Amino acid sequence: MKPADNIKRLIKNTKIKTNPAVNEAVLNDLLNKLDSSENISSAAKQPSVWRIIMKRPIIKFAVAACVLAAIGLLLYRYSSNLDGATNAYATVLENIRKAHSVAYKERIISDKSDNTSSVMINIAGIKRDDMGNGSILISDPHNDIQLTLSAINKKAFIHKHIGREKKDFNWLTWITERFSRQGEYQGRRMFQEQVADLYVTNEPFRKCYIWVDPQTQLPIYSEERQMRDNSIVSPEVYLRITDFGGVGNLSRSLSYGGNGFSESTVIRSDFKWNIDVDDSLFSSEPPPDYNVTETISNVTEPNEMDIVQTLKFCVEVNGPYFPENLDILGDPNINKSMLVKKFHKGGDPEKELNAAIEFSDILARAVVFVQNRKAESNWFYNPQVMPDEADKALCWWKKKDGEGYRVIYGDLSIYDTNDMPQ
Amino acid sequence: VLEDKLLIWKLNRGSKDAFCRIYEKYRDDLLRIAAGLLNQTTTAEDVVQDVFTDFIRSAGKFELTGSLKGYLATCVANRARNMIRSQNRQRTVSLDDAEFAVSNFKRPDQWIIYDEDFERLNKALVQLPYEQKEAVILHIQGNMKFRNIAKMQETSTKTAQSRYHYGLTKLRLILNDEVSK
Repeated sequence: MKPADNIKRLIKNTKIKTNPAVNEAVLNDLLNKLDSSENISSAAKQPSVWRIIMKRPIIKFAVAACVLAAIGLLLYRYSSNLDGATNAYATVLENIRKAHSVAYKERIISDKSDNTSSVMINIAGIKRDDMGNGSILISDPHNDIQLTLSAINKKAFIHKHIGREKKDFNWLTWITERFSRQGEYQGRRMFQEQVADLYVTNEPFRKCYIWVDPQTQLPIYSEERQMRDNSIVSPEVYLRITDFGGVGNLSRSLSYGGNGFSESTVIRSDFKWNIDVDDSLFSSEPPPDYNVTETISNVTEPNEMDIVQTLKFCVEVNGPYFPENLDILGDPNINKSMLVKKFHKGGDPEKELNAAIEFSDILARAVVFVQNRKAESNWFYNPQVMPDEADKALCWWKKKDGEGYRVIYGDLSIYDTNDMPQ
Repeated sequence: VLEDKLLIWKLNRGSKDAFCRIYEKYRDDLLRIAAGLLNQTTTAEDVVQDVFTDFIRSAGKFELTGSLKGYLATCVANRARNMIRSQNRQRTVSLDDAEFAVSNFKRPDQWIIYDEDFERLNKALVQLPYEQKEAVILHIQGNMKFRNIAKMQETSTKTAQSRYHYGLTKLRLILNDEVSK
């Protein structure tokens, strides 16, 4: 037999298997639609009846009135069906909005990791993530604090944010936001041995499948797929204590997220809405017997000083040249080797790790600054310039007011110019 | 074809049994075609369900001129194309790459159950340009004539044939080891 015939045979004979429960659920859904199909009843009518009707003017008039009434009913029915789908999802959203607490399992799958945690959000909108490895993460939006508790070695990390504009944010509004897009109804299906309504929300770089309990009109499962926008570089940093000569599992990471930054699938399941939760579980005060480390992140808008400090760091670590571009600094493998080179001096590994992660924030902000300019086609960079070349423009961008350019020179001085540097 | 014509005649008169028979007869083929074209399990399942829903809506006035399988396969292919176009408009990332990890992720409510052979074939199909993949799948799995594939792809019959042959050659190279085993 010819090889091509083998391939054809393979394609033709490869059978598919299907889930019998889903087969039945889909068929039932379709048969319900068949029941409500108006076309069938009209097709089944006998032509002789119409002939009788059309012969008698009074019956013709009565039938015309009935037909008009039927059309009216039909229009009402279809319009209410169309609105019904929207209204049904609006009810789901309203129920989520009204929830005073929620617990669920969260699985985040990306090309780098696959982590599952148990999440609880209380009435104050504080989130508690039980990471399953003895680590607990408490995110308190009111005080802009993240507390990580490691029960195994009795360590607490308090991560504070400064410079963030005070917003009316809490994790209950956040979870509402995860679902609050226009949900398109996909039909009723069997899901995990129960009947569920499936909705899909679709937006650029994010698609979410939401299974809703028809009884409670609240989500029971959701799968959120976030796609990467290849034109955006997402800065990420992953550092371990072992990178600094230490022992153990301690690691610190930093990443700037958002739509289009990374590719991942987030599965939220086992939802329990409006449950009673113990508020003491949400305290952002570390237990008294824990060893506390405090770090602070500057979450103000990235600025030109982040670029200057990052360029200085690059020359110091990998000099005497400037990097080929600043995007590469967002790569966790590249920035790790540079950060270790600068901060690993043979001292206390934990202190060195903390210093490195603190500095990595500046580095990540510089990458974000460049991405923001690039999105407006407003970033120019010339890596041929050597450090200390005070008369040569290393990078520049148009100022926000449109009046001239902001330029960083080889000696890392910053000036305004009216004309674009050559 | 005669059986299909009879089933359509019955369906147009509201026979649930006729629809059940059509559903059982073509469901797996359509899922196979959709999964091959899209390489995204959930989207492929949605496409097939939507095609059956549209088919139900046309019950009562549906007229079968050719083969029912060919008609349903064309509906699946058209929907798959529209799906890909709309997703491409929304993002720059390659559809196949973005969803590949997800397609292998098994959900408890998943309609299609992947086995080793099916997964291997789909992984090979992913590597073909879309038009070639479409020509191969619709001709072999959908029993569609090149004339009809060409019409759908808005090209000549010869181009559709050549896309099919190129696709088959590339598949042979990719699957060569497995087939010869």
